[in-house]
Amino acid sequence: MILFLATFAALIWANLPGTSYDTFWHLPLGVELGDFAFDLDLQHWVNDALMAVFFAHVTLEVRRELELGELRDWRRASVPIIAAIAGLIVPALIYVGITAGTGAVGGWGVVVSTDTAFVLGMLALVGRGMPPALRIFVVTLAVSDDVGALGVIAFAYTDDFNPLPLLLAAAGLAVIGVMRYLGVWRGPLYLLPSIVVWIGFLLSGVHATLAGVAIALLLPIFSTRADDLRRAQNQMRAFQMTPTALSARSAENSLARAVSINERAYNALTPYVTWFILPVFALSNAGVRITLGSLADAFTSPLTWGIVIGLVAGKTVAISVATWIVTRFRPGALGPSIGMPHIIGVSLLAGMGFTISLFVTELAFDDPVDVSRAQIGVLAATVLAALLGAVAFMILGARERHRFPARGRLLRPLDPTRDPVLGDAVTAIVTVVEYGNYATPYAARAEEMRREMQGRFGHEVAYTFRHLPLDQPLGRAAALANEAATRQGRFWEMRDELIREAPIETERQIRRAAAAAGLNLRRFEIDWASAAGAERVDQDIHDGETMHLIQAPSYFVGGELYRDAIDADSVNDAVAAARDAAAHRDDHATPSL
Amino acid sequence: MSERGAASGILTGRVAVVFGATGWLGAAICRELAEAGASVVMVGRNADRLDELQRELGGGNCILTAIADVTSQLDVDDARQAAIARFGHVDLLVVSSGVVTASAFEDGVPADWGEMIDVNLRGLLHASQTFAEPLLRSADGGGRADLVLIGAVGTDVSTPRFAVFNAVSAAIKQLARTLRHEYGPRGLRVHIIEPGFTSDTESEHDARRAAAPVQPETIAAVVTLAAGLPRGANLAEAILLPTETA
Repeated sequence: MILFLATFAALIWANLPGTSYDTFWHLPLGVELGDFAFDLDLQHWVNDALMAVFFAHVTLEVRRELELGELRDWRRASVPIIAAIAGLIVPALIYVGITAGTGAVGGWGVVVSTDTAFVLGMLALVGRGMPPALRIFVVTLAVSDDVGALGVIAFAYTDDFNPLPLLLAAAGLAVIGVMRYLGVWRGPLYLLPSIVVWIGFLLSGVHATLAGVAIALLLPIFSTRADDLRRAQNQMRAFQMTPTALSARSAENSLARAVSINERAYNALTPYVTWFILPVFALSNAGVRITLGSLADAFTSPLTWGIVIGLVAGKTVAISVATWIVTRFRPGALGPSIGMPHIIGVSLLAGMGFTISLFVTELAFDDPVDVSRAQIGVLAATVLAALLGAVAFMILGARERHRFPARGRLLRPLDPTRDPVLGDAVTAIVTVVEYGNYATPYAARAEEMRREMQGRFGHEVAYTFRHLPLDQPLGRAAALANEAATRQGRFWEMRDELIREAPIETERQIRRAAAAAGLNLRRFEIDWASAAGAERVDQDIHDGETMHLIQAPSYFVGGELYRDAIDADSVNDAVAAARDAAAHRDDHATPSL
Repeated sequence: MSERGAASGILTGRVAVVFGATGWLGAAICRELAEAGASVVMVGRNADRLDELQRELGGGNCILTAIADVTSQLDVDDARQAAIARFGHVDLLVVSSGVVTASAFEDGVPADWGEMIDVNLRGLLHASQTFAEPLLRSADGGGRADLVLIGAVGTDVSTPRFAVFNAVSAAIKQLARTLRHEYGPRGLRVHIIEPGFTSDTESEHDARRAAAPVQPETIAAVVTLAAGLPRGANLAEAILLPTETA
């Protein structure tokens, strides 16, 4: 939102009488050390330095997804990347086709790139209720496209390319690589080589924001290791016993250590990127002077139309068609929750070519008239793409609501005759239904949740667990094992042991859990192999699909989908709130005597 | 010792699984069963001692070792799978795993009780239950099938330093009797063999063992004898006492 406000403010400011906008953004700012002077004007500080941080931020997210998340599977990651490549080439060809023979052909770089920040912002705004995997698709698409576009800037629009400083950048990157190899985990230590890398890129003439991408690609990432967690826990305990500054510091360090720099950096950067970097960028770049004359001129020039059609039609066609072709060859490569309609919606949004388009405009055109035409074209394309995308997502949202009227509502109420219940289903005033999956690492801490729930809410809350195995290979096998344990009256014991083993990746883990839960292994194996509990599992899976549940665990508190953080405290707070609300309702419903 | 030659060959074709194979009693039982011609699956916790025993028995195709902690159901089940995978069936189970701690009751360490209950009783339950299925299958096939539990009797009321151990042993005896009623009709013989141990608790552990009137070889001979009897007869309970007592 703040991004749109900043854009709006920039437009107003630029159209105020006088030249305060241009003057301000061209103020030089720099450092001078003796003979050495280094300065950039304000706009370049924003575009080259702040935006490097932004691209680093986006790259961190993509890398995390590549390493640990949705895109770990190359089959999946390849779709948005291929679509992004098509989205770079097709619009450029369209632009060249339209402007062929004019002097504006050289501006093809204006239409190659989607604006990552805008498209994600729009998606957050209009794509509410869309599958989270769609956002990951868009992020990957946008970042691949940014990397491509930065390449275009670097090689097509760099006048004075100077390879020597790139050695400096390479040295900085090598230092980061060595630090990573040595397992340096203190985030700030990475800052110094990062600045060196940035300066290297800047001096070489290659766009300096590439430094952000390169650095973010190199920062270490890993999922939290159990050892580190234990160490952190020990340090915390030490701090509890002797709360001194020293033990506080080592506790802090061991906590930080347990989380990779990638994730810490990502979280640390997020507020700055959202509330400072992007708005400032919009403010400094979107200031186009608009007059009736300039508009009339722009919309009669092939340059403007080349940009508008290249971005809006080119991006849409390229991304949709490329994705469609890839999924013909590799069905399921998009994942279960995304369909072609989602992709078309996203591809419409992808016509928002704001940041890099405006950036390239400055590089590609010298004639102020051409610059103005191009800027108007970019703004028009961005607004048009945003509107089309918004309309597409409104239709999509309405269609989904129609197809999945139950979204966010629990389809099958807690039923003590089919669901194992903790607490008392008769006296409970709030029900909690969890849809979970033992094959993901997120299953942990459910035991703690269960104990808390019993302790804190006693007979007021009834809790059950249902299965949402999603597509991990052993998810369903683990769910069936849990149901097989029900035959021996040990559903919850088996659940605790499966959680202790989670993520379940081998059948041996399941057998170990069964032994630890104290089951008769022979009967267990028979019931498990014959899928004795398949009916409940399959019903749960079917319900999950109908309700469009796409992440495990999902909680329904009092029949409503719970959407916040899934740590024990947050869920329990929500349960407590629901209980209080329900108790309050009851007070009013039953007249007091 | 003297019975060894006489029993030779009477268990040819049988597949025996021995829990506590590396123990004082278990090792002797393994030797005896192997000499009598049985294939032996030796189950113990200590890989080195299992290997040593296997070498001593000359290795060969008829000996298999399995590392398992009898208190772990999963380990015991793995041993069952290994035995079946190697020999196809099991028709003789000997549970000789056990620990003994002695002390005046008021000085007893509860963790020691826990260990005795875990190993001697719960472990024996795991082993018996896990192997009940293959044993019953062998019995159904018309052959002999034996479940041999090694218990213990306290012989001297004047040095009652084995209260908890004796209580656990009594539970084992009761289990054997009840299982006999449950499995006898299905053709599976359940035996309980109870050696009486010396009441001389003052001397050193090894010396005590060496001086024990009832030696492991004797117990092993009784196991072989019981397993070798015709299907119709069950040497149900055997108490082996030092001649000088009683």
